[in-house]
Amino acid sequence: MTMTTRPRPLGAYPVRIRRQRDLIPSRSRRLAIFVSSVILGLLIGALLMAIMRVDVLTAYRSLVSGAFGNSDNLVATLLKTAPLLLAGLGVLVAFRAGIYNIGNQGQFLAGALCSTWVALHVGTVSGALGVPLMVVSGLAGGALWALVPALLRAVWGINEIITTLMFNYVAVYLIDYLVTGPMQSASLGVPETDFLPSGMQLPIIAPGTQLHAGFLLAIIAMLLIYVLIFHTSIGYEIRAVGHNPRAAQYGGVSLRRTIVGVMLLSGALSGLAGMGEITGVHHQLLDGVDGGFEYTPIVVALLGVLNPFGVAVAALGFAALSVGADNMQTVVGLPSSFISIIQALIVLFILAGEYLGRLTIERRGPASESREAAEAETTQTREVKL
Amino acid sequence: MMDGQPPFLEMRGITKAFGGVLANDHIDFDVQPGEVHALLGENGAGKTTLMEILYGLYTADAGDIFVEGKHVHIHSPLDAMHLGIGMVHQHFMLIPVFSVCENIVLGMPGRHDLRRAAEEIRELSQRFGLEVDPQARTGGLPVGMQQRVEIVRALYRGARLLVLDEPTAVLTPIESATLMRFVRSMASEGHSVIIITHKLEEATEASDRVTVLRRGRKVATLPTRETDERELSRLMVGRDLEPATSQRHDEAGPSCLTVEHLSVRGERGALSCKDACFEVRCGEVLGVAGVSGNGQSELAEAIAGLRQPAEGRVSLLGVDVTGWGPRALMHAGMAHVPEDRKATGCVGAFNLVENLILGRHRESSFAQRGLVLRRRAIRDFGERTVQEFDIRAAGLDTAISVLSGGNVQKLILARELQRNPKLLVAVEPTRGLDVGAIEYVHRTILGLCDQGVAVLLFSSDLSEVFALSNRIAAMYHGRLLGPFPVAEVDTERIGYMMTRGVAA
Repeated sequence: MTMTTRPRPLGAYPVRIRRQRDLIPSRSRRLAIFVSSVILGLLIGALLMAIMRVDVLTAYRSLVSGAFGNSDNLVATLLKTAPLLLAGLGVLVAFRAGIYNIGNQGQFLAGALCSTWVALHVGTVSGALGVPLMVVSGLAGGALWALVPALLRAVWGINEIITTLMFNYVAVYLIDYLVTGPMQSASLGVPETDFLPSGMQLPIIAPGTQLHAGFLLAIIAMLLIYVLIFHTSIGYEIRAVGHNPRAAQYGGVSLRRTIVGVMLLSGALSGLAGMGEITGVHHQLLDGVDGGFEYTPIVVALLGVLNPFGVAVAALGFAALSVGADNMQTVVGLPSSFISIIQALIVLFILAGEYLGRLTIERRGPASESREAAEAETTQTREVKL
Repeated sequence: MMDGQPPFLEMRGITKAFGGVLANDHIDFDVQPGEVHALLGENGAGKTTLMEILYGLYTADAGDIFVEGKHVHIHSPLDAMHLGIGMVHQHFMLIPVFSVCENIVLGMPGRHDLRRAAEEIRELSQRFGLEVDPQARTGGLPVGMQQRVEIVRALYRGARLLVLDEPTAVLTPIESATLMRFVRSMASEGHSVIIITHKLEEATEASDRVTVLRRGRKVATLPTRETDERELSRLMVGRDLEPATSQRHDEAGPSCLTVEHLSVRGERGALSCKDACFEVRCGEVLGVAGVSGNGQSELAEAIAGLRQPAEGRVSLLGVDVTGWGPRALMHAGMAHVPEDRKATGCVGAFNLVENLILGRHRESSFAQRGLVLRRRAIRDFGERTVQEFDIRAAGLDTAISVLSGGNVQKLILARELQRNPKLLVAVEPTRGLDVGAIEYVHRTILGLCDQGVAVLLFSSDLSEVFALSNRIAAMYHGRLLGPFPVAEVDTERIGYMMTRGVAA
């Protein structure tokens, strides 16, 4: 179809870029945004490396081989993926209902604490029951930590962003106190608890490595959450509340029950992540057991566009970057925190892409010339007015 | 066609497609200086698209625009304004905390002397009989006044052609009459006005010519003098319409809904509805008339379970249902067509079929043991319903946001009626719909009555209330007057009650 009937020399008018309100980026466009953001992040990372006089190719090669190069590295990446995926799923569930639970760190620690406490106080139960008991206590710990913010939000409408954030601090300092006080190991003499009885530790699923059953739990959780969100009436209600709480209420959905429900499930998933780190990796409770990923699950959930499989990809990506970074540090001497710069750049590019994805480029017509004339006119009247 | 003088505006062969659908298909349209031109068509006929192209909000895929004989390219509202084209949208774009004067100069280039501007605004508004106070705070103004502010804003920026999008949709009858007087005075000063509308009266009342669009095409342009509402409605819909009227069976059925001394608080905590008492019988329509904002919304929400009543009792088929939630009420036999169909009646991000099961998503026919959704059954149900209720959409996966208002309302009615309710609470069921859809909704409501369903209708459209109701009540400042049997009142008396609050 022709733009106009009257022929016009190409390039006679300067191009102009405008934001089109009726344009929603398509799926392929979004994928393009994602891929180009990753590439751009890595390119700028390369530029920074060059400035720091680091060999870019060697650095990136060491990053990749550090994450996937051999089975040990791959296992390390998967080990890091599991908690990120679980906590990311927790964030997903809440965000899908429009509930901004950013307390995944606190709920993670509560799950870790609860499973440690149960393991140390119940002692060894008969073999087969140990692991289920740990799973339940991790879920319960995380859910309990989310309960108070959930009720505050559901009953009195108190903003869950603030309360869940505050509960993070409570959890961090509570554990700090417990491992230096009441729960500190008498025999180790450092701020750590006793080791968990072996019956309470998650079994290794790949013999000869450290890959524990927590990874399987994460995969199972991913599948269950997918089914829950997209194939059940509960998921339907969660999505309805997230998109339009008023219409959901009109459709007979109880907002209170939904809010409390998703908060508890969200907390439980983060708690399960915390349990996995205790019973699968550290085998005791200690400071910094959350691996310092604080708000990373939120980023992971959002990058995964709140889709369980997308979250898994994002979790794997973030885990690979941080595991690979350790190797990069040893090979080329770049501090491993350098990778945070690249992660942040990728996130920023994706956000920018969300905006740029709505822009279109057009040629400018003569109407804008008359506009310039009119603008000159207004300038004159303005001078008269002043 | 032209008598020597070029038209102020001429649009030739305007074509615009949205995702394969032609919203405008080679439309020719012109406006003479000093002319009032009505642009008539059903929702989705392409009126607003055509005007948004003129106003620079969209770019046409093909076609040319001439202003005063000069070929122009309009890329933004700013371009349009500089060409002397102003538009007043259906939804006003004013900042409530700013004064009228501040709102009007906002966004104009350069620095402004507010006192000078206020004087100019006052003069301008007096010249056209608009009586706008430049110092007033915009937020506290009634809707009709806010619309005038929008009009004065366009005039202040030098508009010689004013586009009004559905201007009377939000106005009371008195405000509408004032607006039409203003439109004539604009024209007598040599300015041009385009009125976008789907209402026949609005199209014929003040216009010199009418252009009718149907499904993206221009059907006709006629001098208003040489046509009538009957011809226009046929052109607009493509067939003859027979107005739906109540059968008025007067034999009273058993009581369905009883409301006793019901008081409801509004958003700000004050009582919006005070001590309402009435009864709706099976097989009758009880119409509640009122200018919007007089407590009807709150009363309807309290009955439908979306709002807790402060006092009083509601019973449905003899069961006390006071304070019950929407789900329990649904099971008790209530259906609800909410006031704001897009904000309350459906989930915008859900597709058509997902919206069709809203509220029924736990029923065993759609979810195994109320939990796992039966995709197949839901799609089958969707396909059947779309056919039966003639919902026009590209497919079951169509996003709700692209459906026209009429189709959204059909979807909501379809969903509510498939439950075989005993009571239908319908709030402004035809607001913003075109004649074809209105006819459909009215027929559906009357059909329900014949089946013995009780209907409680809230509407600010008096002609609708009178066309459908067996009994009529008026609402004013939270008080309910009546109900009166329809034979004992006329539009004048009810109109008097809903604007003054006393029985005439």
